[in-house]
Amino acid sequence: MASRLHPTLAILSVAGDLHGMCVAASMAKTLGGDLTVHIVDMDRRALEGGLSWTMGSSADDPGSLMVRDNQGAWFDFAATDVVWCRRFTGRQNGDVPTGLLKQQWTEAGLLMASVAGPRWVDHPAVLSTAEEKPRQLRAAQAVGFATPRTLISQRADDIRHFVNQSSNGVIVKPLCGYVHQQLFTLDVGQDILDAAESFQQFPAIFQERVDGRRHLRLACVGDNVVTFQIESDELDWRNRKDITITHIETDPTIGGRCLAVLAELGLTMGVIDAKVDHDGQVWFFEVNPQGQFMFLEIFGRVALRAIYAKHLLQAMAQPAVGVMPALVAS
Amino acid sequence: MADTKPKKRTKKRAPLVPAPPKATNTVSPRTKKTHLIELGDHPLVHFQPTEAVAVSQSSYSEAEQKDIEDWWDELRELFEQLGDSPWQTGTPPFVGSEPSGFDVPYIIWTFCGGGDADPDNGVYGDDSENR
Repeated sequence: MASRLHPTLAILSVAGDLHGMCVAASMAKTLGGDLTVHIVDMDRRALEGGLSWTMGSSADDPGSLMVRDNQGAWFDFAATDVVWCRRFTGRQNGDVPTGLLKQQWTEAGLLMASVAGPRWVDHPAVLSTAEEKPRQLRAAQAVGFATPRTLISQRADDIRHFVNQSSNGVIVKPLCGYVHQQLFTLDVGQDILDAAESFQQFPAIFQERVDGRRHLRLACVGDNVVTFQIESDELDWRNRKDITITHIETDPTIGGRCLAVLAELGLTMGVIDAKVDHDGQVWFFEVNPQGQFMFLEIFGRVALRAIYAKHLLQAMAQPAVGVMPALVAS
Repeated sequence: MADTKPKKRTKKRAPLVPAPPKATNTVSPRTKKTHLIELGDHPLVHFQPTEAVAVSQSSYSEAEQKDIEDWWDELRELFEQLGDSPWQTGTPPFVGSEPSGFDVPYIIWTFCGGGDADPDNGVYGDDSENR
């Protein structure tokens, strides 16, 4: 399947993320000793190193980019067949209060993202834009998904007006995750409305509430869509662990829409969150380009690892690629 | 002459940098004005539920519980065969170092996704997981 005799996979992740390790193990099971895997925890680079980029003396000499993996081995990043970008962060464990390490490692990460050669699943530039919630909602609307009426704002007056215009209540959630604390989606009650001025610190996402207890989590990988139903009365099912997760058959229309959303966003994998309302309507909420899925494997009894591994092996069979799109440092 | 000339009224310049908000790091119970100014006290942070509901082994049937533990053991063996076992490095998520009172399903929840962020580990907070 692989295009080379000894294919190499790099997995960029963060410390303690089992997903990369599990899928790598599954791939190793298929290819045995023929596969070399380098797992690189992006948030431990400051502690464990490292990166060394040699710039060529002329345009014909591309130089080399050597990266150190978690085992301490240096490898030629440009010669890697596939880079699975689970997490692409400059944030560093043990950073100084000023954020110096994050700043420097964000820039260093851009070097990795710009090197020619590896096939990325998916490229950080693509992931970055695909993470944008308005872009996701537009993509979902374009392919036929129902999406809740949405306001992204930090203006108290607009927030109150939006709530007053919504007959079924409003929820609020952040534009992106927060590393130090999991932020659950909340109902916008009077207590929150009373504090509406405090939203001025940053814009948040307000959406018309969708009622129902059937939450969907759809793992999309390549051409596969695996659907899990999570039954919970909670607005945000992550708040409870005593819930039921069931693997259900993927509705062809919904599955097609999911893949179309990913295609619109330029992704080859992603985990979509949706909800079924009391009338059976499926509402798209968001796509997590590198969402968590390993808990679905055991609680939903589906060998997701193998599906992800297959996708990466297929990517390895593709030819090498040129210079990837530039990233804007954040 | 100059002494009797009325002074020109100079227009007061707006400060280049707006004055910081005054002593507003707490909610005033007297006025009920819950304008939470302090950074980090954004309503999305301020009104979060204080604790998630843990799962316990009793949430699963005996057969389910065995499947879950077998799956977890399989992962452990897999990593040990690869010589890259996080179980050997003492990274928090693993059995033996879990917070007291939690069991294997909870650990899986937490470290295989969907669960709580571990502030020291940061595995899940980095994910833009939200509904």
